[in-house]
Amino acid sequence: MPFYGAPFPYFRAGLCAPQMTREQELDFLRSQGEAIKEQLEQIDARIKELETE
Amino acid sequence: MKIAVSATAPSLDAEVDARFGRCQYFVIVDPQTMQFEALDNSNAMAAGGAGISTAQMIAGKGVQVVLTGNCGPNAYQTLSAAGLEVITGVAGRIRDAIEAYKAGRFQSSAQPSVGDHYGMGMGVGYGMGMGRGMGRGMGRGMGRGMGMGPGIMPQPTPQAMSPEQEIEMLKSQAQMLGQQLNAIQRRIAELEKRK
Repeated sequence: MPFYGAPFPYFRAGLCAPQMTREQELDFLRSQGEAIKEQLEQIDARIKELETE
Repeated sequence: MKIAVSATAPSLDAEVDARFGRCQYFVIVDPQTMQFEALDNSNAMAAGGAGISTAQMIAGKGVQVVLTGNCGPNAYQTLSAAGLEVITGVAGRIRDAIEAYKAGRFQSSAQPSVGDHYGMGMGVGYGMGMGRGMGRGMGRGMGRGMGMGPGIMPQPTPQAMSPEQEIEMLKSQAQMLGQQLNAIQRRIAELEKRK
């Protein structure tokens, strides 16, 4: 079975991590959201394919 | 029948590893003959998704039962969807664990034994915070961080999985991804309000 991608883990805040601006975080989240939507579409397509087999 | 045991070394005399997705080895044992096969777990050092990937690998080996110390929600859902019996809380030597299973001393786990990301050595994230103080200034901040997983990694199709099992597994993956998407959308909405 194809694997449609790993979940995106949310880690705890690092002690010495660089700060992310609001805009950077928004950009990052939007691209993550798009990637997840694509994975969901692939999963949906595969489920339909299996159901019609 | 085959039983997969998370292991600290590729031997029947090794200890059961307390982690499922990130254990170093799996020992797959035929409990009747005690013949075994040892597998390296290539997902042990994965950045993300180790539980699901490992569960898929094990499901593809034609295993019926998994013995391990702990099992997180993603791995548990994937194993259950593939029809495997999951037994957590197992410790000690693999050989003894198999004997205990044969003697009926274990009960199936009805749910994951740990939360997400159990067994990860360390994480990377970003935090934002503000603080103020007098004399010795002390600040504290709150933040949330995100790490990226390995992305889309096609894997070979496990032959032991039926279409129904694959559909169940895909549905559980879709459900998890849907939850992550909701969390991301909530955070975006929260950030957009702060303009």
